[in-house]
Amino acid sequence: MEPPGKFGLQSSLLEKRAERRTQIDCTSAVACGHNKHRIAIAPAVLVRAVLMRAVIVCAVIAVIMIVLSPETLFAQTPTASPTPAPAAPAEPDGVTRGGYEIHQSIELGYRTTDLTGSGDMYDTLVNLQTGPRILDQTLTMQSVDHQGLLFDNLYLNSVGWGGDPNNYLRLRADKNKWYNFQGSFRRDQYFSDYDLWANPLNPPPPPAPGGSTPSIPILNSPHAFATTRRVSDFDLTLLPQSTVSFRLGYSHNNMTGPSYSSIHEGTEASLLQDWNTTMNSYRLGVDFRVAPRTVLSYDQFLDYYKGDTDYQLNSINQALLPTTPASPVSLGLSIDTANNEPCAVVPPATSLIVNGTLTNVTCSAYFNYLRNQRIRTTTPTERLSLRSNYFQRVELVASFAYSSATSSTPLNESFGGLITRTNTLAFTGTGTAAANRISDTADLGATVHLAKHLRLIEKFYFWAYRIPQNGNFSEVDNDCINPKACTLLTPLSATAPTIVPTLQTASFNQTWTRNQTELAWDISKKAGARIGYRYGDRKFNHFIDFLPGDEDHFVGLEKTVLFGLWARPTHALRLNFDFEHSNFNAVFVRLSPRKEARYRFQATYTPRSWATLGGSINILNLSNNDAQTQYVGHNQNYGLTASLAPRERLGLDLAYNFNSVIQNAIICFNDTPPPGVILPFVANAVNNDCAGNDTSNNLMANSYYTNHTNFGLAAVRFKPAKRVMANVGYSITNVNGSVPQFNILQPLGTVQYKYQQPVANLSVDIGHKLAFNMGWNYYQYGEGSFVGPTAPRYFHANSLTESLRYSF
Amino acid sequence: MAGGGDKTKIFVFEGKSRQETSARCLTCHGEAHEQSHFAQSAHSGSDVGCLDCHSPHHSKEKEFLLVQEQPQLCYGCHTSAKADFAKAYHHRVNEGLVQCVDCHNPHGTGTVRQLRTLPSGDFICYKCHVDKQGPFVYEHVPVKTEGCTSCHSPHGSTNPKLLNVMPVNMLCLQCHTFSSQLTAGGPSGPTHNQSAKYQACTMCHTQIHGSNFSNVFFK
Repeated sequence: MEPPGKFGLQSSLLEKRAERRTQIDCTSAVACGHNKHRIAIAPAVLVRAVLMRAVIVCAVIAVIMIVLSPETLFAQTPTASPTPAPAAPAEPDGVTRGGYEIHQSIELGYRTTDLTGSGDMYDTLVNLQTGPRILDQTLTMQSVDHQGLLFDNLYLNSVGWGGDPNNYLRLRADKNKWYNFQGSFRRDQYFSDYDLWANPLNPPPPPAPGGSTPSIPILNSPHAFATTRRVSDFDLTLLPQSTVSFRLGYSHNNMTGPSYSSIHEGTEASLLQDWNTTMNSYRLGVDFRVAPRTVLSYDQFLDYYKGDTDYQLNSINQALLPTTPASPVSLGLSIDTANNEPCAVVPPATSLIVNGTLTNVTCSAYFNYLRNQRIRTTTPTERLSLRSNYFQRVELVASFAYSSATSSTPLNESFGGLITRTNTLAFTGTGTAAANRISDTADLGATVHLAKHLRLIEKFYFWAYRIPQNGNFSEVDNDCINPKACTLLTPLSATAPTIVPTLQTASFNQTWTRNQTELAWDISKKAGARIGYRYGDRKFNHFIDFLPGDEDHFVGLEKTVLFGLWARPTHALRLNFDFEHSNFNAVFVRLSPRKEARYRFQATYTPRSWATLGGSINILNLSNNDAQTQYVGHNQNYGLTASLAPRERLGLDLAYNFNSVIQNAIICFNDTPPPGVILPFVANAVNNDCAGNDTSNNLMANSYYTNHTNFGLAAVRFKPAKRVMANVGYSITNVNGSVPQFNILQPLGTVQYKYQQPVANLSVDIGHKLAFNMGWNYYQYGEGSFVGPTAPRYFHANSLTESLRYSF
Repeated sequence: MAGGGDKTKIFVFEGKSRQETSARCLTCHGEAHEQSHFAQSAHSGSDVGCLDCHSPHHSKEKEFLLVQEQPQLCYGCHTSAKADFAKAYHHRVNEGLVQCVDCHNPHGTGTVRQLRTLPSGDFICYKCHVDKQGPFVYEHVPVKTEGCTSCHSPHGSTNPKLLNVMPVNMLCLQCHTFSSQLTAGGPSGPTHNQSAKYQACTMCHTQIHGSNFSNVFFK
């Protein structure tokens, strides 16, 4: 049996995606571009398809119009059209029925996608597929006289039904004095297969330096995702304007779907990870208006989390054992025989796998692997809060919350195969993991109006949590009685069980106090300033097994100076400037800054009602100048925007943004390139055992990461005819950066790429409250570096959407 | 007034400062939890008032009477956010799935950047990413002490998984290197050859946000 040349996709959802797509063996973007169209659409076929779809869509719209027609629900009353506004298109008149002013719109359409190149990368970034869609739906109903039976106002909006990866529905209803309701449902279909992610970068065959025999590149990400998250939120307020009002809420968050993961037991196995997590949250609150402009509230929150994600072996890179009958074993993700992964080639064999048979039976490998967990976390939280403007010059808000989460899960794990490091043929793991999180949160905000244009602003925040942890596990290892004769062919009867207990008790605690005081001065109606100081105090304790000397203890103090200016020199011009500079006396992790500075400048200029110009500068500088760290991070962002619409028939939108990210710290690492390979970053690293501190990581160097992103956007709207609106636009994200190369097979990947998105739309008002829309989106992603031992990531795609919109 | 009413009792918004007009709105709306921190908010301190975002009479967005729909309303001032959400990997704000107000409260909060928190004080990220909240038997320290932004850029990133830095081993090594600033030199560096499979740290350390079973986050 020849070794598989590709990372096998075995889960049902991922298989369906593979069946829908034609896998294209592209060796370069050029090769992909020349002759590898996934769906070839001749112009005549396209026109016929569009017309047919238009007929279908019209028929569906006609049915919906009949069903939802005001004539069906209410007696028809004619309404006059408003005078159209000169600049913007007039909102539909709506109809008045049954005491409500009703506006409604629905857009039905069909999307066609034509893709060339990497379908996985397209699905990761765009994921718009072919098929019919309910693109948009909106309903608003407003009671004309606030005497509506069930509601005075109703708002309903939903988007993206029928196959788009993101759908949502938002509902809001209220009846004056009686209730206020908000609800939403969101669905996120998350596909991720950036194939360099968690990829071992298996080397090519000899004579390439460090060549492997066999050479089995992992073409897709070992941690690819195809999950769906559904989030619902509902909130109801009863008697919102009464002395006592009540609030009820419920949220549901469920994530399911297949993905891949991995596990290291001797070597790294690919696992099928069947996601199943659910969070149910309940909210109950009461507001008491205890005095004029003073509200005291009590809230009770209950969160219930279930984590039932299971893992099982995904048998890739299989080889047969030299037994009768031959039985398969999975060698896992890493095939790099030059580095003895999963093991060396034993002469006289020239490859680890010959004719499908494993030639070295002392390899780490997997027959089976299974891991189940049933995480149950209960988090009740109580909160008391106060909001008061009782005293004329003082605005006060305060709250205190106490939360106590309890989490536990059993461990159920089993393995069969060989772990050569410990001569283990099988193990089972059982036990219980338990942890709590007890937290107290308090915040106090006060604004004192010292004078008409001068106010003192005080913000105090306190957050303390402790996480007592308890792990009680038992692993029964079946280790070979004779380690020297331990192979994949050794029967379990030749092993002796060893019980490996793990008892972990620890506690992870942090207390964080922050106080910010500001003085804000409105110099005039055209300018103002504020200056402030923030002090923070963080204490972190980590107790491991509660043994003497087993404690990490840090105290970090923050001192921040704040300054801000705003100005409106003219009605058309607005300027804002903010500045923060922080000093920290200690760090909890190496990449925590000792110094942090933020600068933000924003300007908006509206010289005419049809022209808006904007600019912004955002700069964040971080540093930790410890001699062994030398951490520097900066994120600088400069942007310009312009929106011009001098006439109803013409509009222009422009935007440009430059973002520079640099992050550097001294790192110590271990790197032995294959013979004959010179990696400049490795060659130039200082070989000094991390300045004598870490003999396992002998190389020391600055790890500069730079990322410069240019983003540009231009769009023109114009009306070539009275009933026709067109929009043509283009945007590009150009990323150029650098990063140390640790591995000769490691490309720059997302450190260097271009992502281009031209767009064109046409909207035709065809009368009878109908508009025909046609939109073309183009997506092109291409990296600037070599592909690496994976599938290519380049793609370009056309997405054509035709729709009919009905609105009144 | 023609009937003899007192004109001075009519509040005229025209000509008033943003502080004054916002105070007027807050006489009714200030009692709600959502607006309770407005007076201490960054928006208020930057002279952004209620009528900069809301229009009771001429709103284009009907749900909350906004002058413009999200996120375009926020992009009008926060132009860097517009560029961030246009990056290849981004939270689905432009697609409408996530709104700016899901993570930020434009009316202000008790924390910085007007970020919301969960009632327990935890980061708002866990509202959706519930499996990362824990508590875990083995916590990954920066997740709890520094927050999600120590590794991720939540608006958008040029890197997958919204990471600040790629490849992953770069991000890991910048913390997992000896430092005398930290007790016992800090979290240990890996003893792995970065020229081989070990450059893919998360291929083995899969439960990197916290693990219930493994102190090296293998499972």
